[in-house]
Amino acid sequence: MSQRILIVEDDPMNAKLFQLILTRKGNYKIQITEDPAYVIQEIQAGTVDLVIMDVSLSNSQLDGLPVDGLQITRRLKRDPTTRQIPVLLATAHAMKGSKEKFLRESGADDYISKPIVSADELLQRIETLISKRGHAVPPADR
Amino acid sequence: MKTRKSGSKAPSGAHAQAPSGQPSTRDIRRRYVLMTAIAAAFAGAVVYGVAAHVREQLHQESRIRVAALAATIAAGLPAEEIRGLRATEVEGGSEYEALRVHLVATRQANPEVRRVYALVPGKAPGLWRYALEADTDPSVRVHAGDPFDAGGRKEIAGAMRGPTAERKYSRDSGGSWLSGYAPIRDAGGRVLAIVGVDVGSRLALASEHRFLSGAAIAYVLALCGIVFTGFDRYQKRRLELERNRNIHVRLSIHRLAEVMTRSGAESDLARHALEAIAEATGFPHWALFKRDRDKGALVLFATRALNDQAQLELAPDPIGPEASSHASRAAFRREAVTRRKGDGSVGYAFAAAIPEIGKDPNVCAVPVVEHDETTAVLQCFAPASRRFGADDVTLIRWMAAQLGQGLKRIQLESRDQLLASYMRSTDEMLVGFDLDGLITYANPAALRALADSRSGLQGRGVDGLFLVSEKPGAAPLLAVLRGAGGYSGELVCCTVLEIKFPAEVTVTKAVDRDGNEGAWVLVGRDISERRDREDEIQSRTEQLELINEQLQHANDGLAEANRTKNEFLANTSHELRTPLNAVIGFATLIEQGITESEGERTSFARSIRESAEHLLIVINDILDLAKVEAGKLELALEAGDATPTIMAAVEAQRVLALRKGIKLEVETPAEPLEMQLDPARLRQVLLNLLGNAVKFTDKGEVRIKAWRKPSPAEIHIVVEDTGIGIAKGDQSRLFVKFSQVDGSYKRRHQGTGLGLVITKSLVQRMGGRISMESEGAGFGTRVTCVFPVAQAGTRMRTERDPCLNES
Repeated sequence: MSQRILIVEDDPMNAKLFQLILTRKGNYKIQITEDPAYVIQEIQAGTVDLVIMDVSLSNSQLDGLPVDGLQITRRLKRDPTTRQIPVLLATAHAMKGSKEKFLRESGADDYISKPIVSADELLQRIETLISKRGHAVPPADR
Repeated sequence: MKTRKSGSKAPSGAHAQAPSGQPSTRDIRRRYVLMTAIAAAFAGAVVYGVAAHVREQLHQESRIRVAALAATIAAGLPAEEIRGLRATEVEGGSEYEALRVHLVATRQANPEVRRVYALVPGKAPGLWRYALEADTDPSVRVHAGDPFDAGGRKEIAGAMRGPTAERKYSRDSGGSWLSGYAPIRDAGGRVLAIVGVDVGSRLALASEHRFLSGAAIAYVLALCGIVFTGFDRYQKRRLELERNRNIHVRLSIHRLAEVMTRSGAESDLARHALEAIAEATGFPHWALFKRDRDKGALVLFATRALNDQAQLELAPDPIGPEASSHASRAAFRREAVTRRKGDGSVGYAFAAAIPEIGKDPNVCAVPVVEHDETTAVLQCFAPASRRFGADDVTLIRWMAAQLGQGLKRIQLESRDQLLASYMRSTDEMLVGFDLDGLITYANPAALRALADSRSGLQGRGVDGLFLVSEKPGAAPLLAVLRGAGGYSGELVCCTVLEIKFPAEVTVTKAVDRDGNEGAWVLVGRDISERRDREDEIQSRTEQLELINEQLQHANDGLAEANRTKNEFLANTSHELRTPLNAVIGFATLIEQGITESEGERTSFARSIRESAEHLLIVINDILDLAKVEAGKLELALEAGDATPTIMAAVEAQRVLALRKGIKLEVETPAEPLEMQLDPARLRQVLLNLLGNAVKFTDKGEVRIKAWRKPSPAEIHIVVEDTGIGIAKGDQSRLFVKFSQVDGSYKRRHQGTGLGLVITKSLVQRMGGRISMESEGAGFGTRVTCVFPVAQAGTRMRTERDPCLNES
């Protein structure tokens, strides 16, 4: 049975690119969304094995307020019903220190910067995260 | 200590004068008691001698009388017959009886005679036997031939030579008597027997006693006379001494008073005062302590006749109820404290250093009190033999008071001098004037400031010199003072030469000791320099504050610019990386042949192209901004109609508006909108404004209006939308480069945030201005561009816009 990956991405071209890489080069089932509520719902329903999360989200809202990928991840990692699913941040925000800052703020499991120059590295990261599933540490309360 | 040392040695001459010339009353009394005692003893000796002599005479007379009585009786007795009465057997014989009767008669003839008896010599020399005895009492009667017990009678042997008597009285239970003896001679003169007679001593002794009593009475009377005379003399001498002493004390007091009026150093005054006090009181050893005003403890100030070691030992403990030293106790109690010898409470180890005082001195400490406050203590030390009497203490107390007044006067004098020199040398003006405002005193500073070289200030009125206010009709100083009771603040001084300067003054009432107000005192200083300085400082301060504010502002701007620059870099990086992701990703897919059809490959290639085009836009924006930054953006300005450019920009955005489902309206006038323009740049401006409007509007409409305003002649182009609007606080930031309203990652609208900055710059380069209004977030946005109407011969603006450099 193939693993299921949920892609949270506001740019349709990039979302499609992820889908193509993950379905053609890997054997994953892909869902794409911008809606944080859908993400939570799917994880709770047990249909997701990993989340690829963009950071800049132009259209995402949760409880009526605009949210970015970091806030969604934080929400997932605080909720006992969703925290066990690994989250991979995939973002074009790749200034020095961004990785550490994002991981610390969101509690995400890993970070990969765009542009993704190696599809194989992406796949290997995803493989590692899924195999270590459930070992993620929830972020400290702020 | 060195000065005191010389001070304590110098007065020895004066010191010697006082006690030796003035023996104490006690000495006098002792001397007179001694003299009286000697006189009494002498009188006693004389009386005793005379009495003893007379008594001896009387005794001799008694002996002679007794011996004579014995001789008379012996003469009446026949010697031969007495000699015959040697044995007991003769008793009862007529001869014997006759003799005995004769003898009894003789005895009875003289009542003083206790016994009469005849003795004959015994066998050995010195032994006698009774021959006859004239006693009628048979119980005590002796018999012829009985041995005679001589006992203590020593003179009986002398009876062989002639009549004699015992030297001493004999005594038994019946009384005392004197024995006399006389020889009984025969015709040939030989002593055949002796007669003894015992004569009672009552009469003789009575006369002796009478005489002795008389002598005793005489002696007592003499004694009375002697004592009376001695006492009388003592009293006279004492009064004379006291008179002398009073004169001496008075002279000394006078001298002290005279010393106290002298001027000079306080220490010299104290030393001379101690001299005078020592002379007045006769006590040579003195110490004067002054109370230290700050610490409150007593400090040795002056001494007399106390050597260095003694001075070192003199350290009174702190003043208080627990104080043990007499000086401190006196200071605390504010009354005299004396010590008598043997008072164990305080030892005076120091006194051992002065032999004439000794270890157990008498001490008298007297405070100098001023306003219920001890200011000094005068302490006197005396040997154990010289006790401080009430008179001494009173005198010392009086001296202490004098001394205190003198010291106070010196202090006041030095304070006066200080004050006078201050008034002479200070730069402050000091002016005294009476209640009528006439100047009575002006110090040199006041004269320098207010008077000229010829005239003084004395007698001038203050109202002409000091003006509370220069306004006409303002109240004169004196009136202000009378009303307010004083003045403190700035006023204008008007010199004798009518030169005015500002001064800061304080005027207070001068009050004499009884509280009567007699004058005013003005203290003040010229503040014209200060005022100039203050003005200068004020203006400099203002300048500095302005510069500081500018610096602060620039600093804030720099910090803000730095922050937005970092933000811009992060955003630019993000904007460049996002399309690159698609470019690289799709290229990889094609390269690796992971495609399912030719159509898919074409689709991937299109994606790559679109992403690359987007990348180009971003890069162009950044380059434009770089040019704007460097002021190198070249515009090809020409006069022309703006309408076609507006329509072209609207058409370019129509597709996007349609896709979002919003209306895009345009209103332009029929006549051409002539202005100086670079059509490409104007299109860029309008595309940006319309693009923003469409991007930030989800429903409703976007409208562009253009018209020509006649006066002043301007072209207005307005872009309105019904979109998300802009919060009031953020509107000012919009035209600042690198800035976007929302810096967080949840930004809903992509873009580098450079569009409006470039737009503003372009509008300005075309001679126009741009402004943005919004009623706030959620109320839509309205952007207005205003351009000048084109005029014939308008020069093309190719020079660099100065505003570009500053932003």
